[in-house]
Amino acid sequence: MKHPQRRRSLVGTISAVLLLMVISVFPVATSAQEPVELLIWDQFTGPENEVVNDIYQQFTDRTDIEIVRESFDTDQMRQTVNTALSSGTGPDIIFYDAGPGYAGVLAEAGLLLPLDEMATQYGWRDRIIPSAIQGATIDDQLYGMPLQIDLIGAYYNQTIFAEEGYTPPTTVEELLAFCTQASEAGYIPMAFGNNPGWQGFHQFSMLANDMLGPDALGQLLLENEGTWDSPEIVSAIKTFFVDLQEAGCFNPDPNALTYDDANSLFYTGEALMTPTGSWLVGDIAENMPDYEVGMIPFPTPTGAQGQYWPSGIGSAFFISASSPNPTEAGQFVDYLFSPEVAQRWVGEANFTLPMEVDTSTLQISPLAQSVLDVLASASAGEIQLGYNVDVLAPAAFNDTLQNGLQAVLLGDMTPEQLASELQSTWEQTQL
Amino acid sequence: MAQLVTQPRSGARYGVGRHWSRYRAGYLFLAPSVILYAMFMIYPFFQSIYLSFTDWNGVGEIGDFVGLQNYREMIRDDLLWQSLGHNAIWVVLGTIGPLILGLALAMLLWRQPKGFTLFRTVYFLPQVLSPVIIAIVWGWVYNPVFGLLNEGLDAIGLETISRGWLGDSSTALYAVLVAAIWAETGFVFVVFLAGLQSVSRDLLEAATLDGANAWQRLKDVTIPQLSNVITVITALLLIGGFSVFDIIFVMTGGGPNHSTEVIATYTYTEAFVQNRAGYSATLSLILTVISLVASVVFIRFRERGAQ
Repeated sequence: MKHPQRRRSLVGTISAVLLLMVISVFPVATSAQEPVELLIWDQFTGPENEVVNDIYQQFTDRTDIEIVRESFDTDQMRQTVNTALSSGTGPDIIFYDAGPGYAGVLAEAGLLLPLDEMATQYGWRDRIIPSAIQGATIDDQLYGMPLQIDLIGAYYNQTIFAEEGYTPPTTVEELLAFCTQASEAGYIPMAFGNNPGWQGFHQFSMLANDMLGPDALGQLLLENEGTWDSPEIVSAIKTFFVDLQEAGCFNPDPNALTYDDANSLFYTGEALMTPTGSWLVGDIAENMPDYEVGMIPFPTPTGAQGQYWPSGIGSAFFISASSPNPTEAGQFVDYLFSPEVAQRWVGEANFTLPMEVDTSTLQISPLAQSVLDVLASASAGEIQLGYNVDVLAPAAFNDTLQNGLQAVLLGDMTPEQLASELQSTWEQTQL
Repeated sequence: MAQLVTQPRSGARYGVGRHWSRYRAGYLFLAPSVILYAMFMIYPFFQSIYLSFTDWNGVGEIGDFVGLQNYREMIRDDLLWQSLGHNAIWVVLGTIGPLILGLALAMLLWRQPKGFTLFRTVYFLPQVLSPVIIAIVWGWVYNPVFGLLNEGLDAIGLETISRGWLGDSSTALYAVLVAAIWAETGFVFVVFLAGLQSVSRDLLEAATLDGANAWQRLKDVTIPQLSNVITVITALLLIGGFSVFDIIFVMTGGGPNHSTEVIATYTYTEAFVQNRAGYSATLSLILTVISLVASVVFIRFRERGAQ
């Protein structure tokens, strides 16, 4: 009746399974002779994907350092990067948002490697423009190498503008007149999608810079001098989120339209303008082969201090503090900012880099060139750039701003109420 | 022999050693599941309780112990109560809707009419789609510029009703809910269809002979025989309703202006956007407690009804 042999065999099998499970939890140390492998997490999920693969592969071909690439969209990256780096088993290099709520939190927790020594060793500070270096500096230490510097403004369809005889508006007054003309001709004057709501940050930044001026806005953001409930901020909110909407400048129900859907309206020529950042240059090149597109600073509102392009660094390359191969990681980051690779970023990926790039031999679209020209003018001190507010503001402030702007668009909140809430949240974050 | 196996022995004669010797294989079979369950369910659960007493930002070392501060904040948190209200709406409509629709569809196919297999497949189809796909497709249906719904309304002269369904704070929650009900009905339909196979046709015939109309036969004969099925489905929908996340996150992100915020999206935002993992753990525990209490109360209520 009993089968001791079979039972012993069964117990043996189960024990073997358990042993395998235990072994899998404690991996055996790898041989020291294996080639170095760097794991990189990036956010290059757009048309630049293939160029990025090629750039990484060339580094491997030259150095025998293996690059393992894993790409994430923004939400996925935000959900996983904190846990991955905290566990000490995450990527060696991450390409991540440089703001205080993102890389700033990781740096404060000691999970990112300070790059000051490497910056000196490789001369990075001589290559990257100071404002971009400043954007990736936390508590006086450099932590990241910013790849992109963004401008925020308004794209317009030059082809249809020329066909219809429209001129790009330079003031909000002219914009309102254009909205009437374009609507009557059956176009959507300006594509604006504000679902899930982060898009409103950029429109707010444009108008806030114009109304306050970059100096005052910078003092408010960086030194807490001034208030968010000033008449200028109220006017900035009202101009874009009340006046332009009431004048029929946007597609119906911006809060219901996603960023991609709004961009599609612009790509297809249904909408003639779209207010967003220079990160879209590559997508525009790919999706609008039959149109010429230009980019202008957002039309100036009445009572403005001037007309400014808000600017800020996008994501940057960071090295994990627990990377077993920081030297090789530094070597890789340096390669990514070498003059040769910089040309590929600009020429093939349509990125705007915060460094001088020789574009004489590159075929660059007039749109991308116009963005580079603006940055060059800013670098030469000919024009002053504005601030991209959400990149520098605390997360709680951004949350109030995001939901408040949606409420203003819906008519559930007045610009005055939102400005007051912004000030209240700001004070709480400054405690 | 069988008696010897099933009769428990007591005291020293049947000690731990003999128990282990007898059931060792059983315990070893259980061990992998228990280990995995402990690692991925029990440990995180108790860790969440611990985190709810800290101000951890979700990165690096766990933050300071703050006692009941997170719980005090939670009680005063208007957004939590607003989110809970949305969850309540979701639970009620998101449970009743699929129950009624699923039962109605199952009744239609009960007698296996012509095209039974086709209809069964079509009705069940939404269930095999990922919630993210459902969210994207329904996002297109509701699109204010090219959406099917608004174009349909315009075509039949109801353009005054057209709107940005997901961008209007008065309609966004219900618009997402309709998509969720559509997705959930397929599962409920299949379970009801299976349950209907055990409904006694003799009783139905007897009721017909006694003069009961269709509604009376449904209410007094069919549904009582489906009570166990209804209990299981309702419990599942209730729990799902309290923990709903993905479809809302993709369609609206909790907006506009928090009008579709539910506890799960709020918990996510606090943890991954606001970097407040301690407070987020507190919110997730509340979600667990509410789901647990609602399910237990409902099942007890049903059991009492059955007795």
